[in-house]
Amino acid sequence: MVFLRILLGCCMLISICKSSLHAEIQAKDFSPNTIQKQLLATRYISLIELSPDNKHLVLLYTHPNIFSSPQEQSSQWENRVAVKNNYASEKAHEVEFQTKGVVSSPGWTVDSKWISYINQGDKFASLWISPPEEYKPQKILELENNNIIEYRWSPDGKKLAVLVDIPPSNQSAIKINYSIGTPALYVLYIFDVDAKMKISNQILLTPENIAFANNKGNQFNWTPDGQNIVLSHAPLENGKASKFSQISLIPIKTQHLQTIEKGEGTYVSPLVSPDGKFVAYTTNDLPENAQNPIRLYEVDSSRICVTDLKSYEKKCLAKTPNENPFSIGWGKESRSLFVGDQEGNAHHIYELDLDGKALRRLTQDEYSLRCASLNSSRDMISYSAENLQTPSEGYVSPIDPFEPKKVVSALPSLLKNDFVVEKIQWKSKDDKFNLDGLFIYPKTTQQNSSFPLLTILQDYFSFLPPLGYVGDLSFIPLSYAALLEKGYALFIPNRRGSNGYGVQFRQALFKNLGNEDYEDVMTGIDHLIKEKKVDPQKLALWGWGYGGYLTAWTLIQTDRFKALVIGQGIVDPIAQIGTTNEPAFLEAVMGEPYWNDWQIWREKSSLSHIKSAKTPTLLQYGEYAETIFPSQGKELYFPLRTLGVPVQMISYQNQANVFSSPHITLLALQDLEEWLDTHLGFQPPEKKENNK
Amino acid sequence: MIQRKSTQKIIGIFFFLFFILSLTRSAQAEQQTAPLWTPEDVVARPTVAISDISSDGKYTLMGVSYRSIKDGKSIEFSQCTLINNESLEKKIIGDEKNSCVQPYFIKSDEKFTYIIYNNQTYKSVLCVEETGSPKKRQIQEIPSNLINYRFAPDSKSFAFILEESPQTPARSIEGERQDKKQSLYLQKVDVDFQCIGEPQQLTSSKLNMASLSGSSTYIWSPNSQKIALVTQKPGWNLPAAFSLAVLNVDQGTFKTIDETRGVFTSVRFSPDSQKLAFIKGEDFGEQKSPLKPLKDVASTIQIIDLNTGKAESFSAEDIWNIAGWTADGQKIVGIKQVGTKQKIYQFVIQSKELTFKELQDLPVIHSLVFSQNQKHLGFLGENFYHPSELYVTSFEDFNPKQIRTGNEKINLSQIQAKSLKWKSFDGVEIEGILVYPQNYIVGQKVPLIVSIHGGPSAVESEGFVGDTWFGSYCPAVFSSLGYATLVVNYRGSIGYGTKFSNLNYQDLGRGDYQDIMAGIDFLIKEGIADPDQLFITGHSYGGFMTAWAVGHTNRFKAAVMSAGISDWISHVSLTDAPRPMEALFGGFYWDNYDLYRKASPLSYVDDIKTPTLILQGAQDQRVPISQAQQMYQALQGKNVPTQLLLYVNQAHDFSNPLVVIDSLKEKIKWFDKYKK
Repeated sequence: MVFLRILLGCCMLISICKSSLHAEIQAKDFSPNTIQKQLLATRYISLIELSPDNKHLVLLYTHPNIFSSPQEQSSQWENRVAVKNNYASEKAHEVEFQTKGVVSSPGWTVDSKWISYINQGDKFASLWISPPEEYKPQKILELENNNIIEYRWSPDGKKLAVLVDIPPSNQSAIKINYSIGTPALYVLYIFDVDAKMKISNQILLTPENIAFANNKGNQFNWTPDGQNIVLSHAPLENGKASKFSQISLIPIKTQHLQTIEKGEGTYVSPLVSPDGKFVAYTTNDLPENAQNPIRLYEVDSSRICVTDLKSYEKKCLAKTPNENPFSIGWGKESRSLFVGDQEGNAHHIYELDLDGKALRRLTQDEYSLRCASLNSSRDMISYSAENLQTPSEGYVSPIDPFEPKKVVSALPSLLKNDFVVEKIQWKSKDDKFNLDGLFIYPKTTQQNSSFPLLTILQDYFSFLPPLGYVGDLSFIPLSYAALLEKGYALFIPNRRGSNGYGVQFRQALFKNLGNEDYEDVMTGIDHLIKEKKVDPQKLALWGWGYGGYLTAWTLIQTDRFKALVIGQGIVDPIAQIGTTNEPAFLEAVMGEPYWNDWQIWREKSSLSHIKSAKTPTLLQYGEYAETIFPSQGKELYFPLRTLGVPVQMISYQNQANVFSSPHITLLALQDLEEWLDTHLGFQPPEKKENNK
Repeated sequence: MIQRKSTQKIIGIFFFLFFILSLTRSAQAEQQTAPLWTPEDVVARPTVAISDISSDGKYTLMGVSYRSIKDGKSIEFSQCTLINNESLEKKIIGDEKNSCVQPYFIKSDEKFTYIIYNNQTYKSVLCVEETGSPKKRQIQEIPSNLINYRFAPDSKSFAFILEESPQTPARSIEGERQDKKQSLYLQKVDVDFQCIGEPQQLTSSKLNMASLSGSSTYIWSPNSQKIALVTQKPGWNLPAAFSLAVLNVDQGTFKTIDETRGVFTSVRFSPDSQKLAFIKGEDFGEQKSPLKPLKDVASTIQIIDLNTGKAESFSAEDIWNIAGWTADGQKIVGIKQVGTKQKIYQFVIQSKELTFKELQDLPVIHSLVFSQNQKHLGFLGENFYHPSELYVTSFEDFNPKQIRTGNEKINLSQIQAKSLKWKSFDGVEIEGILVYPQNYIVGQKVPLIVSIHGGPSAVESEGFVGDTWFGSYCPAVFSSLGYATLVVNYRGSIGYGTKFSNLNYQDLGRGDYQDIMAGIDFLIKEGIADPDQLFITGHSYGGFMTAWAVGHTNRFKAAVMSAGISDWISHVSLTDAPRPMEALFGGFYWDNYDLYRKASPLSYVDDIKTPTLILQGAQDQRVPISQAQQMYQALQGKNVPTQLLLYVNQAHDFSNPLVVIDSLKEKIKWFDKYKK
């Protein structure tokens, strides 16, 4: 699940950056300290792909960029395309494309001669190419009123399938016809491509607009014969997209859409086997989910299943341990599929046999992966990996034997890895689960000191890779490195509901928010206090999204914490379900709409017991967040302020569900640190040499 | 026997068919002729406001605002008009490119001043002109953020307010006032009105002039020695702390007169400059749980002797404002709400005697302005059929003369309207106004749109039916399309005494709802309203009432909730004005969760079947959009026909002419869809 989200991060960046292009703020004296310098030097590998001839690599680097002038400061996350030519040889050299604007989806043409990519540009996103060895950009396709969202070269390279968006029509100059979850609409076009990369002969493949299920994944692909497109889409009814998606096939000739698989569930990422016989897809439409009234793709058990394109016979492959796989590609002989999934805190790559039984884990080490892809000959996998000590790096490995080699190194870090990571294990209070979590603390020379502890509660669908490098800037304002540097120890408990521990664990908080998962966190903290050097008088709690809900819940359960920080947290579930643009999560976990069960909804709101709140609370929200509006924070701010509980609420300009302006993320980090320092009364120990 | 009966029946059916046919025909005929009053007509008429009257009563200064739509964009500009009250000769200043605002007499009415600003660039100049022989002279360019100026009565200086917009911060901290900062300045001028030296800042940088909409926050004393001003403490806005002070202009010293967590309005010096009269708003005092009910914290008129500090306090029940003192310093005069009428009152301070200046055919008086010497009065008056017109009179020889401003051509007497009273469930008498459909024939049963005012402490008056009432519904537009309109001064409304306006204490949606339903039943009983064609709409608290009503009855065929509240619990934390809720509920929700929950329309969403359109300003701070979103999501979830239209740049009061027109059209479209 997390794996998937991170991969989607590449797509998400497009829209994030669009909104931040005009983010400008008043000039502020900004002289970054070492940590901030490191955060600004963040570089993720968001994509790494071998050329069809296996000689070169195309990479997409994602990094923050701050523009400063005496008058103003603005910033954004940027993508930069780079090519590592002859990556495996001594002649290897990297060419970074000096693109202007926001780029995405770099890839190879089938003859390995060109790198193609989408560039947002000034008006509409268009398709560009450049030779890999030298940046010589050339626009090859631009549509008049639409953005090019995604594209796929046909297997013979003579055709191009392009997904474009349809501008929304619910808005006039004075009013918006509001709706919840009005789907973004798209159409697919097919073009001819000649030897000189000239694009012509536009065919509309989807006469009717199409929409995708919430979980976009990999939406469309060519069949190996280049005659058809397979597509995952959500049928439209009265302008609304069905919550169940389906797999369809559209022959280029007839443009007549044929449904391959559909049912009571999500069907995503259709991939046709190299022999053309099967289509594989990821689905939660499984017998074991039928009983489950929740039906939330991200939480359900999901599997890779395969349908025979002739007989329409369907069979499902082995389950990954976490039951939330994401497909990477078919193996060479059409006999197996490669997938990724999370296991504990780490991501792994697995090979699933078509016989439906065997599962082989390829990766051994504990890493978070941001992307993985299979080469054209289906015998090599490239991926990017990172962990708490190592920034994002690129790897290539043959499939058999799986022996990954580092091919892209991280930039040198400004930080010394002067912290210790321990995996902590404890038993849940109700004895149902063995729980684990990460305990990260600064290396210290002082013998008898105990650490102030910040416990970190991630969102339900986290934007952060669980093992992301501590010195990286993120899309949300949290930095392990900055907090470790200050002398805080960090605890990241995998409370029930967390991903990576299978379906039972993921679903454990349904109709049960804030009960056992709260206990899981508290027993974990107790365990740390007992076993480790943690100062029980200096406890703080940080939570984002659902983690923010749990933090608000903690506010009314206990006054053990000296400070709370709620980032984009749900506070009032009734108001949240009524305002969010993504109601599916709350709908699912609450089980019933509130009008069917007022009591439970009321009980699950910390506002119902707000008089017991005592702990100083910082609220941090993006001004334009639409999944969890800042109004949720205000609903906690007002009672706390009125009741005299120390509280501060900060809304960050132009920021949405994730923080798209790195310089504002840095401001938010400072706010977080100040709040903790103030309310934990904590003076950092003697400064170390690199803290200047 | 049987046969005869069936014949009768057949005749009956034929007669009925014929009746239907003739109705259809006449309806078609009606459709072909243009409706009497359209949404466009509502905004097309210029709005007049009286600004000043000369001490001899000979001249009036008036502001006129024009709103029009060109190429889908709204164009607004203002003119200043100097009127000779005897000859009715007019001098008009300002045009579509350059607006004229704030015209006032100075120098014992020999001259008058005004501001001209460019409608695009907002570049502003302050002008002075001779009242008798118009010879314009520009005295100086002024900053475009100068929002309010007044010359001292001796014309040796003028005070003004500069407004500084806050810079857009990268991070905004909740609870810190986001208001524009307003500071008061003084500029001395010579006999030729040339500035002497630099302006002097009178309020310190810490003090912010209160921003009270539609009410000046400072006033000169008649002897030009003092300025009374209302300031607001910065910071946390829940206990909005206002302070009333008197500034000695020469010495630069401040003396605080009074403080309140309510508001100060209508601050007026006595003619001898020794006393101050003002209205002190509901002062809730320190937060207590449970909070005192409203009846204990009602507004008062305060009269304070500035020398002795002696204060007298009188009930300000249903009093809108104090326009001024009479020249003898014995009375104060202003406007008071009396049922559906707004009357000029005079209050004798000594005897506490309250009397009214009665006016035939002018049930609604507003914008009362005194001349500098307190001897002459100007005001606006209106009734159901005629929009506001200007009247002037001497106070002693009270004989208002109508000054025609152009609106006299408008006459909607084809539409009948009347006030009416009925008994509510508990015997309490409720007053409302019924506006009939155009050309109503007695005995006709007609579709009825019940339109609910906001507040709840507000009132419907017998004003012009062609205006938007409560910024949300226009009875004349509804009448033109065959609907009757009923507005209701339900319990909680003002104009009926403090006891009545406090009857809704801890009872939102209960008694007031029944007051409304009793009014509908009354009209059905009277044979006016068609019980199968009832519709409901309302804005703000009226929007709440609409959402509440559809959760409690299926009698309405369709509803339009406009900027309404659906969930009091989330609302109280999100609105910019939480204090009234605290007062109405007797505390916040953490003191009485069930009261808040039970008063929330969302709690009854399971019972809603009525198709409900929701209209909402996206920039509304009073009732933020989440209220509309929550209602919409619930109706969608229950499969009730609904639509939510968000007006993008619109705040709480639907004031943008484009929004006025569009919201009326959407409303009609929604009702027409469910009309027989």
